[in-house]
Amino acid sequence: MNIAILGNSHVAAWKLAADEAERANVDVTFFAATSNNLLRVKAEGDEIRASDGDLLQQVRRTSGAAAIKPDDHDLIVIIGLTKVPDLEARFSSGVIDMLVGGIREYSGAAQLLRKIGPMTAKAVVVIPEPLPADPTPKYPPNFKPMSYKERLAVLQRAFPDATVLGQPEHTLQDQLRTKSGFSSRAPRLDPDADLQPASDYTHMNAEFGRACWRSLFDLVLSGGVAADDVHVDRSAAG
Amino acid sequence: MPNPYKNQPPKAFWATGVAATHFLDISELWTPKWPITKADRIVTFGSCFAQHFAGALRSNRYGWTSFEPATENMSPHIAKKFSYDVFSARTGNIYTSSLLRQWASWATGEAPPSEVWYDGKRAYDPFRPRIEPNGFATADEMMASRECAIEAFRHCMADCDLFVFTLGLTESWFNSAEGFEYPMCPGTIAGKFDPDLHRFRNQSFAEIRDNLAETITLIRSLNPDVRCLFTVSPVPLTATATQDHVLVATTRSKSVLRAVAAEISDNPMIDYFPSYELITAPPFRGSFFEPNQREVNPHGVAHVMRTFFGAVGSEEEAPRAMEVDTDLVCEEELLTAFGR
Repeated sequence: MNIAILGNSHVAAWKLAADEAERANVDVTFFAATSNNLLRVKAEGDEIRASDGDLLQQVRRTSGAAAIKPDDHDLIVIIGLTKVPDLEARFSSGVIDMLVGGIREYSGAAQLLRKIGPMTAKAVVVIPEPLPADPTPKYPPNFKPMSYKERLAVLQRAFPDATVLGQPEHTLQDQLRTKSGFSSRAPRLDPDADLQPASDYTHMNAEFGRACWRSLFDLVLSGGVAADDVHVDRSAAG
Repeated sequence: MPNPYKNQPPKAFWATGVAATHFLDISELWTPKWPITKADRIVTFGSCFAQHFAGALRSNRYGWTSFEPATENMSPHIAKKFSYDVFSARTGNIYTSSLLRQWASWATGEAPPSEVWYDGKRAYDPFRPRIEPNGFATADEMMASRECAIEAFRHCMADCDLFVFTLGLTESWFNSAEGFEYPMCPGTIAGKFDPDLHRFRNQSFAEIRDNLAETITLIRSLNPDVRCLFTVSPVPLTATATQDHVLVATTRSKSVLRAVAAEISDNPMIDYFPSYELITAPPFRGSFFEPNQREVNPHGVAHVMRTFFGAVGSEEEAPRAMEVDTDLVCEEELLTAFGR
C-alpha cells in the first residue's frame, strides 16, 4: 500500500513514527509545510507543486520533491489542516449547520481538497489537529462540551467525500484534551530544528504518531476507506 | 450663611457648565458612585443601544462577560447572526423593565410559558423571535435553547459584579390570557397577531419603577453585593402603537423611563449613566444622530463611551476616536417595514 501524507506541523509526529508504517510494509510519501502554508501549492495538471521559495524548501525537506501526484497513491491522508470544533450541547442545529458550512468552505483541509479533488478519485482521510494537552485549560463559564465523538461526527459532515478520523481514544485525557504525556518532546516538521518547547501543548510526540498510524491501519483494514490497495502487514507492525 | 448656590461648582450652572463650553468639552456629566474596574465582571442587557456598552467594554478590556458565549470556531459574523455575545446571555433585546423582570423571574424558578410560534415547520421563540435567523428545527430544540438562555441569565444575575441595563421602551405587548409579555408585537417578526389575545400597554411610571425594583430584589436574592447601572436609550421609537405622533410618543416614553431611572438610582448601590442626555440634550444640536434623526451615529456612540471611560478610568482608556460597530441586532427596527 502507498499512502500520501499531506499537512502541516502536526505531520511531524507521524513522520517521526514512520517506522510503524515501514514495519507494516506501507510506502509513505510526506508532503507538508508548517501552518497553512501548504495551501499555497499550485495545481498543475495532475500534480500539486510548491513553487515559491520558502514553501519549496519546506516540502522538499519532507518529501524530497517539489511536487506530488495524488493519483499515484492508494490513499491520501490530510493531517492537521482542520480542527475538531469546540461545540456544546446548547448549540442549535441551525448553529451547527452554519459551522459545518464554514469548515467546508474555509478550513485548510477543505481548501486543499478542492485543489486535489479534480486530480484523483482516490480515497481521502482527513485527520484533524490533536486536541491540546494543556494541563490547565481555560474554558468559558459553564462550558459543557459535546463529546469528542459527537464533535467528530459534526466535522465529518463538513467532509462528505472523505473519511474523518479522530485521534485514538486512549490518547484522550477527557473530551477536550490529549493526555499530557503525548505532548512532551514533540518534534518540529524541520528535522534539524529543536523540539517544540515544553510550553507547547498543541503538538504531539512520536508515541502519539505511532498510535495514530495504528489507528489509520485499523481504519484501512476494517474497510473504513475505499483505498485501491489495502495491504497492511499488521503481523509485522507493533 | 451663604445661600446653597453660592458654593456650587461651575458644572451646576448652565452658563459655565454648558453655554460657555464647546459641546464636546462639556465635562463632569457623570461621576460614578463607585469605582468600575477591569477586574469587575460586567453583564449588559437591554435595548439596541446596550450593545454599544458590551462592544466598548470588550474592546477596552473591561470584564464584560457572556455566560452564553459563541464558540471560538464561530466567526464574529455568524456569532452576531445567531445573537451570541450581543448581550451577556442570549435573551435578545429586552426593551422594558417588565420584560427584564420576566427573565429574572424565570431565572429564579418561575416556569416560562410553553408558547411556540411556527412558520412552516420552523419553530420560533416568542420571547426571542430573531435569536435564530431561520427559527429552530423543532419546538423541543427551541425550548432547550431558551432553557440555556435562562440558565445563562441566572448566572449573569448571580455571578456579576455590575449589572448594566439600558431602558428602551414603555410600549409593550402582553398575552391577556396568561399575563406574560412579548418583546415584540406578535405578527411583526414572527407569530400571528390575535386581537383577542394580544394586548397593547403603554406602561406607566409606577409599573416600570415597580418592575425594575422587583428585578433588583430578584438579582439581590442571588447576589446581595451586586451593583446596578441603569441608562436610558437615546434612540427614538421606530413606531408607536398609540394614537400619538411617533415624536410625541417618543418623548412620553423616554421621559417616563428617565424619571424612573432617576428615582430607582436614589440608592447607594444603583447608579444612572446619562447616555440619553449625552445624545439628545440641546447643546448637542442633534449632531449625534444619523440623517433619519433616529439612529445614533458613530460619533455619538464614541461620545457616550468616551464619557463613560473617562469617568471610570484614565484618559488613555478614553480614546478620542473609537471603533464603533453600527451593525446592531435590533428587533424593534423591523417595525419600519409596516410604515406606509
